[in-house]
Amino acid sequence: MTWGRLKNPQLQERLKTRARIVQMIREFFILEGFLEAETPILVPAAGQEPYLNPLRTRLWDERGKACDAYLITSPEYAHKKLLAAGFDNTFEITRAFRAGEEWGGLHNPEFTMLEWYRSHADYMSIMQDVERLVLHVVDGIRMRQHGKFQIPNSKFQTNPKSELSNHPIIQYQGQSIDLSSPWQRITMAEAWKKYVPGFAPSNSHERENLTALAKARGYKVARTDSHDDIFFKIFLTEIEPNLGYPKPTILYDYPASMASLARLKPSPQPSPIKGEGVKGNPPPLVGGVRGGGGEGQVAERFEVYIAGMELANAFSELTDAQEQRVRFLSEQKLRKNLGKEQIPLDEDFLEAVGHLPPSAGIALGVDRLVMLLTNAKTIEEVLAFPAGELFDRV
Amino acid sequence: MSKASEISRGLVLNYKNEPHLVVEFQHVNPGKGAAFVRTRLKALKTGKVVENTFKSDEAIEFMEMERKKVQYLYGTPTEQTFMDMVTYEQFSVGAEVIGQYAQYLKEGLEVVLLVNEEGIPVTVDFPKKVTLKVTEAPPAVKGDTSGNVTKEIVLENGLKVRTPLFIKEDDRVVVNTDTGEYVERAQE
Repeated sequence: MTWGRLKNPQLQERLKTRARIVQMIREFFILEGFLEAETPILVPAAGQEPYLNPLRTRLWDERGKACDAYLITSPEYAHKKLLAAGFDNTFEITRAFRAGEEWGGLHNPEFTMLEWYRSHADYMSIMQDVERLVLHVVDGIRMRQHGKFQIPNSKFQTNPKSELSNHPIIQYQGQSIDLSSPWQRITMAEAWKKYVPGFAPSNSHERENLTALAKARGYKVARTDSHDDIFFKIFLTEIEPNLGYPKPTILYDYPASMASLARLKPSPQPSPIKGEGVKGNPPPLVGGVRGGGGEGQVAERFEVYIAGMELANAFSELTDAQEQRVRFLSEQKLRKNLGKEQIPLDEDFLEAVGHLPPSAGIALGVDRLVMLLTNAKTIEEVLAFPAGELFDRV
Repeated sequence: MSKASEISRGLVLNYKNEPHLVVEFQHVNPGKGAAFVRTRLKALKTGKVVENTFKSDEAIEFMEMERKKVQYLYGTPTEQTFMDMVTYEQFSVGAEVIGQYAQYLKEGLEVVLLVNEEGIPVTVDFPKKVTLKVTEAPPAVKGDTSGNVTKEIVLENGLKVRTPLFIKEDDRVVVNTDTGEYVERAQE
């Protein structure tokens, strides 16, 4: 069933380009002085994100003693432990797993994720990294197509002025995308103003105001819909499809309620407590976020969109262990309310957070980057063995 | 009541008390957000296409429509005729119901007609992809190979599309009927 489709010449071409893209990513980070880290895929505590479904399995030792184990939804906890221990810049190209999402289209339950982290940096420097990385990869693919591929020499420049990089324009699904620097940068608040008629900044923070706006725009709002649910109904319909044309878009400064592991603006945010913070039940939440995170507060988070597709998600990392614990506990509570499996807190991670230097990191979907650079509409077209071919649907 | 996560192309939804055909849908999981389904819905009465996003667990109501699998027989500029291959019943469908898809009709093509209680076809659920033969394809030109290189070819229905360079005359290619764009070379 699966091997026959591998004879398709177009798929073969895409898989070859895919291999080249992964090589170029690795080359970029090695030349930038990053350490390639290999972190575990099988872990005792998976990510806490309320809306993700980690895959659980059983692990046992030679005496048959068993415990629960999870497949990672992202390698970020491990990388932050490395940062906390003094590794400066790390990157990894790894597999991540998420259940309960679509098989095909933009998702595959097993997918390839690129993450990189910089210490003594914030999300602005990661924005520059993404632009330069994508241009480096495009250059590398084109050099091969021109038969000019060679091992890069030590004179590598981060922004090579070759004839190829002068026209970094790709065609994606009938649209021209200009990848040249600088990319479009727009804050979340600006994007709402630009794309949602009737939006006033005061609409955004109160659920009631957002509800009124959503209803005026023809959306159904259920009593159980949270502020973020209503936010996403409008965002996904009216804003996201416009992002990433004709240049990639960096959408930044998210509502504080969507921060999770990001620090809040304005930075720097000094960590009041070094070390692991206080265990047990921390002080109650004020306005959803502890520490003055009131209305209108934004998190230093950005996402990258190219041709309407979400490619990457980045943060200035939260380095306050106490705040991290508060957020984890509230996420745990939300998981419980959503009827999702309870995932144990990674205490080791919480302890490491308090020792993090100011740092920033990002997760980028490699499969989606391959889709964009090979003009593939669906993820199946860039995977040799997509889940939909491997598994029968029940 | 059903859930929005069950939304699928070709189903008819009660949206604002009007029947709407799902023409496109996509599951999206925004970072740090719940699961949503983004849709394009066509109002069966007016033909107007609207976009909306539902939460995956949101309650929605599907409307029962009889779905008749039919084959295309022949047409005039104003009317196209299809036949139910089981009952041999014939249906005539006006050009306004078929719209842009008319250019992909060829004898024997199977489509699904959604038929209302009076037995009148209200919409055609056209296949998202059709396979067409290439009638004209210029040979690949060496030289400019930067980027995603394409060339223009002509299909048996006269449609011009841009394809990769390896497509030859007499190849069969798959075309997206919503966008009129090349998808892939058809597998045997």
